[in-house]
Amino acid sequence: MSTPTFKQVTRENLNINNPVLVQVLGICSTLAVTNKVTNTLIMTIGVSLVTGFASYTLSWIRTLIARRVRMIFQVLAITFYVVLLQLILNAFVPEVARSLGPYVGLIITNCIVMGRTETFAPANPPLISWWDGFTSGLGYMLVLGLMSLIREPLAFGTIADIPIFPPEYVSSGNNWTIAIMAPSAFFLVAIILWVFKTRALKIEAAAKPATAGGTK
Amino acid sequence: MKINKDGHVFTIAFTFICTIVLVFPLTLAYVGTKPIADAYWLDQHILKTLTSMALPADAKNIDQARQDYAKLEKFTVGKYVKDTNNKDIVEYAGLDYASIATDPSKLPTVLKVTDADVSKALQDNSYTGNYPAFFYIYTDAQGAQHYGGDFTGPGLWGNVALAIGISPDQTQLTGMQVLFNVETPGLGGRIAEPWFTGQFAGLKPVAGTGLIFNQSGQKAENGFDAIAGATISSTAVKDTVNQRALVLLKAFIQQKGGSK
Amino acid sequence: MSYVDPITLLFASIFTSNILLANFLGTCSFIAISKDIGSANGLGIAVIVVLVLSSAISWPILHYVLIPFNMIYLDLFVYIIIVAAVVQALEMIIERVSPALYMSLGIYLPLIVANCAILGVVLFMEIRNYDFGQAIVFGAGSGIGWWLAIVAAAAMRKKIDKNPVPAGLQGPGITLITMGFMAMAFVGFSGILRVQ
Repeated sequence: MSTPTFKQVTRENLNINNPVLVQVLGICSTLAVTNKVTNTLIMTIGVSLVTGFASYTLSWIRTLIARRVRMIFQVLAITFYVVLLQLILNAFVPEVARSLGPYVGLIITNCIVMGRTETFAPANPPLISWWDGFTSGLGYMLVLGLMSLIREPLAFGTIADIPIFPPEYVSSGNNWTIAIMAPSAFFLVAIILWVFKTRALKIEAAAKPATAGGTK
Repeated sequence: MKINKDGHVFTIAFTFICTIVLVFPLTLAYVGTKPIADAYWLDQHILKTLTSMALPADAKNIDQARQDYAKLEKFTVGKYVKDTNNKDIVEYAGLDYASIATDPSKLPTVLKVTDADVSKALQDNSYTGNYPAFFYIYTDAQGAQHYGGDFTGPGLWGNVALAIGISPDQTQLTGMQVLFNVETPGLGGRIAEPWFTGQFAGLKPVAGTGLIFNQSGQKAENGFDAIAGATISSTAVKDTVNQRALVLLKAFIQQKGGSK
Repeated sequence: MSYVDPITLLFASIFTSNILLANFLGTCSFIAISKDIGSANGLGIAVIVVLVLSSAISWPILHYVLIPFNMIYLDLFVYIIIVAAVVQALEMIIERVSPALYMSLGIYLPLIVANCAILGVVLFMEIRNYDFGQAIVFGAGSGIGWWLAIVAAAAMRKKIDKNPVPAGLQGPGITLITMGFMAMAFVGFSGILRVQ
């Protein structure tokens, strides 16, 4: 089996095979923090780094691993990076670390991390695995970042705490509080998914007659 | 040499080595980073306690703040016990808030504690925020006594710890700061933002009811604005102030003989 | 610390702070499995069992090992091993004791290790300082809440499948919208009870 190139991996993860949009993976632990741009960025960067390094480790050790404990070792390696991330956040950005609280720990069970370390890393060399994990995280960041860019202004009139709407928007009580509550997160993911899938279906439909015509 | 990767020996050795390799660096990282995080939170605690008691607290002049904080008289509820090195340590008492609310004399005798006791309590509970109740007395140049304290109550996800200050005549709050919370970031977590905590300075709690939420645009003397979409976290702050902080402060002041 | 009576805690964890609809935990397996009511039921019950067992095992380890030895920074390690071990042990026991049950329930067990609801509940048990009884009730309540949500969603998806849905929304899209409406309905419960 040939190893995919860096370019292919990037395109796969950021566009045509985006983990959130195509595989609907990994929204659990991070959906709750998409109501603020800053939190979303820090969380998704964390996810990217953890996925990257966990993939690197799993790929590096793939010839050495005891097959019976592969699954548990995979989970432990992920946990290692998550705990490390948590300790680093605690020491250097304590306020953010505390405000993200339990969510950082839940990166362990994020399906993107699980998925990439399970499927891509054991079959590919370390460096490309790192890149695959990292770009998967970035693809994830694109979607969740977009969500937070919609949710935060609607609810608080700010982006990353910088006001973009006049102060009356919030003080008059006409702001969309629903935008930061749980239901809106589900609706927004669904809408983004809808737009993306419709586009994908169109591209597919456009491609089909062309190939059909070619074979005639 | 061919290794049998499905053999028992290899599996056990692999698991054993991996566990050590993974846990050891984490322990080092923990030992290396814990003091940095603890020092940060201790300074935050000092600044927030001083701010809630309306004393000057400037993050840029942290040395001054530390000195001011050292001048406060500090108390907690509990008893001194001997540890293994025969040193006195404080054992904190569980509190029955409801019965103290009906009868303030039910508050166990408060003990004077040192700065080291406070900082140890903060470090021991840095993950859960389950801080013991601390009381502070600050005597100003005129001899009037200002009271303050740290109180912990239940929030939506975990504990919410608040620093509360009260004026010498005990009629109004001098401030409220959030010492610990793990509420939902961007929602309930906004209880720690300055616009929210700033509302509490000057509020006049009503006997019996304490503080309430402002109803649509009407600002009450004892009312503050809840956070839209985070009713549970806002209520947690309200209840912690009403059912714990004010109850304990009142009982504490009574026990200390009050300032008249 | 604060004492919440078990009945309140049970109802709160099922309705007002539903682990799936209010805290978003366990969404991945939810979307994957809610297609069919039988599997949804199977996975839901497996989640309840694993949740109760993992909270029952994690609590003593947290309070008698991690806290006394000042190793709380390793909590995630310990919890994930406990969850994986519980799942593995259950799988083995069910397979030997009742092959029929294994066919209907056992196949969902490996999915559970990657279900954030389990780790989430165990982490809440830690940060909320529950006592042993509360931890078990909370585990059971969260599991029941998750089971309720997934079975209800599976029933709704059955109806939705018979109706025209825009091509781009089929599958996960419409499930997410269904979840959004369910979450809105569950927001309605939040006035009834309050729990830490």
